[in-house]
Amino acid sequence: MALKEIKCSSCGHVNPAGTQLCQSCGKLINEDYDKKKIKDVMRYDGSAVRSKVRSQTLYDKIWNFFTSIRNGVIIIALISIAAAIGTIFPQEYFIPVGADPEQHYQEHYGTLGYLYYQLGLHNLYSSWWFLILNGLLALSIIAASIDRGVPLFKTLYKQHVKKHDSFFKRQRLYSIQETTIEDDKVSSIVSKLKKMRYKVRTDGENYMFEKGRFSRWGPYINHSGLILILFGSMLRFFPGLYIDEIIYVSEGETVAIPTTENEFYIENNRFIVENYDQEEHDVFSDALMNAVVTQNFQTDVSIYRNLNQNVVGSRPDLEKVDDYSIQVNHPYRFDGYEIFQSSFDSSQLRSMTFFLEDADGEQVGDPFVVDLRTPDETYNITDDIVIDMRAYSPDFLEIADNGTLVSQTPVPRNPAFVFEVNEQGEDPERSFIRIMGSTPITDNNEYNIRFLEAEDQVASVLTLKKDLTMPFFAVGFVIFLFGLFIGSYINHRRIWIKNDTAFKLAAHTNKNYFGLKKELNKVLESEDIEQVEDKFVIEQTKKDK
Amino acid sequence: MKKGTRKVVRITTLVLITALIGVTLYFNLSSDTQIVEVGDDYIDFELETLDGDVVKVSDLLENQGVILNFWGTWCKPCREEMPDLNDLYNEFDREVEVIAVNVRESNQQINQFLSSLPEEMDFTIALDRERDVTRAYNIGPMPTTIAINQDGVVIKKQETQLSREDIVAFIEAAQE
Amino acid sequence: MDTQLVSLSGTLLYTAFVLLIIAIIPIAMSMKTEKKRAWNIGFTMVIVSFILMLGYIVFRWIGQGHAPVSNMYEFIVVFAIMIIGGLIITYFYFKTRTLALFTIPIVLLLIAYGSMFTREASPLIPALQSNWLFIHVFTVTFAYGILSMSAVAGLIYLLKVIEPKEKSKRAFALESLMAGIVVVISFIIMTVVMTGIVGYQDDYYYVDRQGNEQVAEYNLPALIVFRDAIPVEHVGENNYEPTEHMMTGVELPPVINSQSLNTVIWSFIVGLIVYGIVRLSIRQRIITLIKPLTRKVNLELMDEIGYRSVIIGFPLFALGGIFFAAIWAQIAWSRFWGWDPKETFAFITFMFYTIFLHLRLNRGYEGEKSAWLAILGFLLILFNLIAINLLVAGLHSYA
Repeated sequence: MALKEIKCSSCGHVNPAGTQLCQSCGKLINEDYDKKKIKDVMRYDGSAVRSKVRSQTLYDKIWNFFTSIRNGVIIIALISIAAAIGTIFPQEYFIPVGADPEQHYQEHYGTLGYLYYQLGLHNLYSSWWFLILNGLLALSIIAASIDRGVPLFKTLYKQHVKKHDSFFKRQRLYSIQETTIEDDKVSSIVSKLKKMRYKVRTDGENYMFEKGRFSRWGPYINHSGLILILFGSMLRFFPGLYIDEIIYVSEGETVAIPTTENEFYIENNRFIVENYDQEEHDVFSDALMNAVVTQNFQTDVSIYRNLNQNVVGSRPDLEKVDDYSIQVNHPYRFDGYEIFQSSFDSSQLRSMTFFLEDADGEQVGDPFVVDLRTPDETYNITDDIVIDMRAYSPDFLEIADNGTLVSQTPVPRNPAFVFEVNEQGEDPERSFIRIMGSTPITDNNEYNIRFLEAEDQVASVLTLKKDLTMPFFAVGFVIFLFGLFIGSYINHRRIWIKNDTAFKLAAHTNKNYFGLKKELNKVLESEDIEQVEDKFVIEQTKKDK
Repeated sequence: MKKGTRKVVRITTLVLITALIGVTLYFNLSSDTQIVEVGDDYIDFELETLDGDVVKVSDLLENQGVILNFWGTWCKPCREEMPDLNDLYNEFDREVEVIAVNVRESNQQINQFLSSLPEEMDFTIALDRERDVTRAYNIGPMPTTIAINQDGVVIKKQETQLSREDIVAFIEAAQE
Repeated sequence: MDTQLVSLSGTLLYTAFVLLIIAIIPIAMSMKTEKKRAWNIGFTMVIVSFILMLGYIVFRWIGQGHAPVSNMYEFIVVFAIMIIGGLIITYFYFKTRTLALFTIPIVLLLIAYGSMFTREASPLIPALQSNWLFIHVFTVTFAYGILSMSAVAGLIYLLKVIEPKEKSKRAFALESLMAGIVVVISFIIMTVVMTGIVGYQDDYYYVDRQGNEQVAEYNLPALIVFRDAIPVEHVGENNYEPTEHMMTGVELPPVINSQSLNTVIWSFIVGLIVYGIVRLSIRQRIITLIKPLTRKVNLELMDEIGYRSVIIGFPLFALGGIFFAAIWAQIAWSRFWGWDPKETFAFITFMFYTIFLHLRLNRGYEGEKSAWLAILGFLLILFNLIAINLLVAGLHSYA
């Protein structure tokens, strides 16, 4: 390809190397372009887009790879396929809290699950190769935009009104008459087009009408927005900019808020769950008969600041800072953080109440309440009778070889006890109590321990978020949408008229020739001038026949 | 665009983007590692013990190396390794201090477990009820055992059950 | 009063549905002639039907106290209504009649499919209690409605351009699409018959992903069940007893909704059998029967409609399906983007139409290539709507 600049033989303007249409008069000055790739020479107004005119250093070769739309499309397709793969099995942050990923995938999804885990696909969207793909996308967007945008900008802002005769026939919409038309007809056309919001420039008998030029910048604006978004997603990996933690706090408990280095604590004062009442909502009665639907759940919290932030593990000295009710859709905000109501856990028990029953089936004394988190070891039933708790397992799994109760977790989900009834003057009686069953350990037990009721321990699951990258996403996407809308909904339309030796008219738009044709023909028809036909349509119809 | 400017723009863009991708990759891959690994400094803490006292690691480190053992009564390997830990702790004349950090449980549960053991445990049992220390050390699986030498550096870390040989290795490591 | 409004809305929708069926007749007749009368009657019926559908939305909204977009049934119906809306807009701009002939059956199929799901008015769970619910859903369904026009235009384009007797890959692909439509029709008819008329029901007890006990109601013999499912029968209140059912015993992990997938598998089996029968009876491809309807179509116009629908619909999809959705997700779930299956497939749809536009504008992918891409895009939308909601249980699923 020529490295030399091209001088137009018609108007004398010197064009950059590789330009197809003269920047000044629009004459075709360079036939030596890739006709397969460039179907419409007016695509970038005939400017030299193809970087093939430049010398081929390594940087140029790399650059050219990324300016190619075909390669860009391939990168987009790869990202889409990768994203789809991440939906085959749930990602790691969707599996139950606390589960071991390696076990979970194997257990639930078998060999495929095992492979999924080993390949790291369970953390696909933050994996290094997905990251690289997106980096390549960013490079592609930047390179392609600079490569096309800069020449386009230059061309559109240096437009000349007067165009070479050959320019008109080259356009998709054109009308060439044998003779000139009357001046007042021309003025009429001018004023009609002006009413259609066209801006007009004249140069003797040459006219240029243009509107919607700014829509050409749409793609470049939306690309800038995308770069901002990609930049924001990159920042996510930088330490401190993005925090996403779970706060698990039972009713009545106070826990430290993670990542604040024990500066802030949160207390769950009360947790409320409300379900839709069938009576109040008659219209939903059919649905509510079959299922319980939660109307609202919220945590009433108090936030504290710790005045004693010394060593890890030391007792905090708490000073209340705020009270708030965190509901779904209504987070609590403080110090750049947000705390959201995520879900709740009512699978734990807080306490169980039992009572002692004698051989006749009569209750003895009052019922006694066992706190399942910090249980007492002795319960006074009457003056003579005391019940001792010999063993307790919060989440009973099995009895060990040495007779002790083995627990699955430290969480009261399935409590089991060994109680010993000590009556003055009698032998101690032992029994093994669990949910749905009591088994005597000693023989000939006179007494029975019976279950009365249990109280649920509700824990609120809150999400702690700090996202300093969000402005990048928000602003980036708004810019993207702005660019997308002006680029798609508005068209850049130009009409040239030359009325020196014969009337010539041509029109160009970057999209929607159908609409431009309609608009132009309305004006031409009213002036009794032959209407324009879409050159491409004519060619296509010929091909069909 | 002039030839020179074009070259500058291209090279700058390529280099800049590559650098940014590289930095991001670095952060991505390095954040996968734990907070406290072998070679890192230990994190000091202060917890109440089962006896009612208070234990602070930095105080202990003035005189000797320290082994931290994170455990729970529901964790089978923890239960199994504890008697061995106690044996060897005594056998080595308590030259290295052992702190068994219990995660989250009530005194009742701990005492219940201890009374089922054949011998009394002589080392300190620290109570991490709020899991502050567990979180600070980013403990995942249990038992996790960490050896800290007198300089406050983490010499050894193991996230599985300790055999007698393992315990010896830990004691020796804490004395480095 | 509220219950009556909801019933009224149901009646309006039903009337609109029937009206659309009837409208096919005058519209089909108008294909043969240039005269306006049959067309005007037919299209007026379409417009009236659309107004009735809007009435359905309004009355159901008032009756329920929230926009009718919160479960599968409601969502699919609104989607179908938006397609009719898209059709009306496209007609007024481009004045082409054939689009209506092809769009209406698709809309009817959609509404029929949507009606398979529970239709009860149901109150909103906390995560859905926000104005963003209807802002997001209405914008995205409107975008879908417009994007769907590109698929219909593409279908018509291909039917006109491809010769039925061709031994080419593209003819095979188009015929497969027809087979697919037969499968969908079979599915709907089969579900209506088995659930409504025959009343076939086999219950299976299983434990779901969260560890909760569930009972799955199968309306067709079980080809696949949930892992460790036990066939049971309902003996009253909340009690079930183990029993025997016709089943193959093939088990799938609970992350897949085996009951829905079972229905899908049955649809394919029956659909392909029906397709086979039709093929054997008419001794040629189904597209041979449909192609004559596209005789008078202007290919460039179809291509133009295909393109314009995307250039108009895509920004709306980005706005409603991604932007509004992200805002709402941030408010409700504290993360504006979580790569859950539904969001991921919205992303993929977004990328797909990006590829569509880039290929068209920069690589000259016009005409036939564009038509295929448009149809593919629509299938992607349907996949996102149906498969993701049903087969992958998760935060975003409705059914």
